[in-house]
Amino acid sequence: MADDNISVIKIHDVLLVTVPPDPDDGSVNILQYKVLKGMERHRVKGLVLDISACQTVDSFFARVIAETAQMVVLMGGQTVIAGMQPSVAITATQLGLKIGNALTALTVEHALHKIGTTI
Amino acid sequence: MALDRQQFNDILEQLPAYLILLTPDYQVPFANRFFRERFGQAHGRRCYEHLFGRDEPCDICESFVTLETGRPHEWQWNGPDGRNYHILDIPFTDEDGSTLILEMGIDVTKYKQAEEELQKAHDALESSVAERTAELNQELAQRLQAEEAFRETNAYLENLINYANAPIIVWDPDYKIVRFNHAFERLTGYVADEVIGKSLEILFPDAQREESMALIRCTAPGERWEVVEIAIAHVDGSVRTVLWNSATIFREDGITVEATIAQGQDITERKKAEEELIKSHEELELRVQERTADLEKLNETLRAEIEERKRAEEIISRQAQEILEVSTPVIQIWDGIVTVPLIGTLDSRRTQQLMEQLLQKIVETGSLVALIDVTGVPTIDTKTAQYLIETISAVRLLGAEVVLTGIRPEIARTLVQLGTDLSNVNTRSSFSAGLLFAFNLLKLEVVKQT
Amino acid sequence: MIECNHGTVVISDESDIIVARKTIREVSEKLGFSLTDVTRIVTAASELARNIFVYAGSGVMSWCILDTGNLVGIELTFEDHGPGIADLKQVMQEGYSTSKGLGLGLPGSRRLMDDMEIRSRVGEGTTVVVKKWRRG
Repeated sequence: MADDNISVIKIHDVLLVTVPPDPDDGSVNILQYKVLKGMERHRVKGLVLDISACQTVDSFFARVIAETAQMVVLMGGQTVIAGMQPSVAITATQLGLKIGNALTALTVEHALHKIGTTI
Repeated sequence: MALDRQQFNDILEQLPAYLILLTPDYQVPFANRFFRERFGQAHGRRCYEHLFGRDEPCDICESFVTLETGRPHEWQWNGPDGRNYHILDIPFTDEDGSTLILEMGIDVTKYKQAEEELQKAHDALESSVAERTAELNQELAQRLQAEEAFRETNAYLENLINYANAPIIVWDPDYKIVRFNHAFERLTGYVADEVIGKSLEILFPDAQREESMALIRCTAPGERWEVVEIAIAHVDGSVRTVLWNSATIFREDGITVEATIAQGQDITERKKAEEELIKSHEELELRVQERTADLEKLNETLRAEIEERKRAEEIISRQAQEILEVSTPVIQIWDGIVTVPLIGTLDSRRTQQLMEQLLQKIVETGSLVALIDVTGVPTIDTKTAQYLIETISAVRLLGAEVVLTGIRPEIARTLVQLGTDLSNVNTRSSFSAGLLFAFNLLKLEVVKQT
Repeated sequence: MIECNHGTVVISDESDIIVARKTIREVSEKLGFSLTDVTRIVTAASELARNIFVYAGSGVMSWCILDTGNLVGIELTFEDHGPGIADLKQVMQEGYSTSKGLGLGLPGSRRLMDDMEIRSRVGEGTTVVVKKWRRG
């Protein structure tokens, strides 16, 4: 079930992952695994995490994202978190979440732009 | 009539006492038969050798005192035969002119014994008399003491009864009053002397006399009252309510009634107080009921007032909300640029509202830059500063940038003193400078038309 | 006069954290909390439910609607019979963690909510009660 929730797709030279509305811990771990596999398989400039559907980001999710971003950087890529909901952004800020060296973008389009890709 | 020597000798020989002649050197030249029979012949031996087998004269011997005084000497002597002799010594001059002592000894052992026994009997009598006297004295003392104690006890009881605070009365089997204490005098207004010997009837109010006497007759067979309420009439006509308990005093046979004693407790005042208490309690309850009704009415009014105030508050709250939204207008001033001009004192609620609206607007318009202008904010507190920093962080999480403009000296000081890290925050002195910065971020250029 | 509609969610598995989140989202949305507040409450619930799972293995989250007549709110209670917390002060410090979390759980949740109470005894367990009142 968790497997089907996460899909990592390669668009041009970027990996695009769409995060489901309420991801469980298993899904988040699978996400990381798939991203790293994708990074290994494809020559890509970076990773775009579309979390626009995501309603809740807790410390566990944030930690995995920050770790993943760090791993992507180590593998020579960039991570951009795109489409965070205002309510999630406020909550994350108050909770004190850190997303490491991941970048942020309003939309996937902006994210792709930040990585320097044009479709 | 002259007696010849033989005759004289015969008399001496027949004497029922001893008669001897003693020389100054303790020889016994003559001893009559009585002496010889009792002590034997001296045969030229000195008296102390013959009688006691001693070498020197006896210490107790008084025979020779008569020679010294020249007068007859009487004394008593215990002979070697264990008997007691009354002795008479008389100085005597012999025919040849030599000095002799004529000693006559009468056996007084019997007298002596009798005398001693008499003395003993006398002594015994004396001591038994003394003993008995002592006993009698003691008995007498005890009786006196008992009498004293009895007298004291009586006086004590008398006082106890007379001065007891409770009225006490004693009556005989004919219901005649025999004792009437001071408290009873106070209760009735009678003096004891007036009522003693009179019937108990005089004590009761007319209306209750029969009833009360019936109760009193119950005590005749020895029944006790535990607590009986009997009214007593005062001479002034008032009636006192008294609680009684009684006890019957029997003769020694334990059957015949001697008297009955009763002790009362005047509860007139208590009863009055109780009645008054009940009355005041009733009054109080009435007052409480009235007051409760008043309060309920007041409560009703208050409730209505509260309702009204609540409605008013709801309206005010709604209006406040509207004003709040108006007072923090988030405006898109350019494609990709939103701005929030903050005016007035920022409280945390308003700042939180601003934060949410700003973020919402950024997402809605897809703006990459948010200009927050605080020129119109005179002061800022810790909590608000915290919200401001959080807003900036949240905006960045969305993927947009914040430019803070118009920070006044006071706010700058507060932010620094709070340790707020603004190193990563884009700040510009004025709104226009901030706008230019925003244009730069968006790679826009303001060009003067030619 | 506090009305208390309530319910419980047993936390014994990782997936129960999601159940807790969904339940609390529904309840707080129904109570009319703003979207941001709903997100705050759900996130705090997620943090505290995860604490139970990570530190105690299992426990219970119960929720309860508060209504004082003037204010409406929600109260969440997280109870476990785990090892307990020896030093509450230390736990409430920013960045403190004894497990793989980020150490934001308790202090972070307190910032998201209006009120937080913790009762804990070493060897007996921990109870955390949080409250959030509806604004406006």
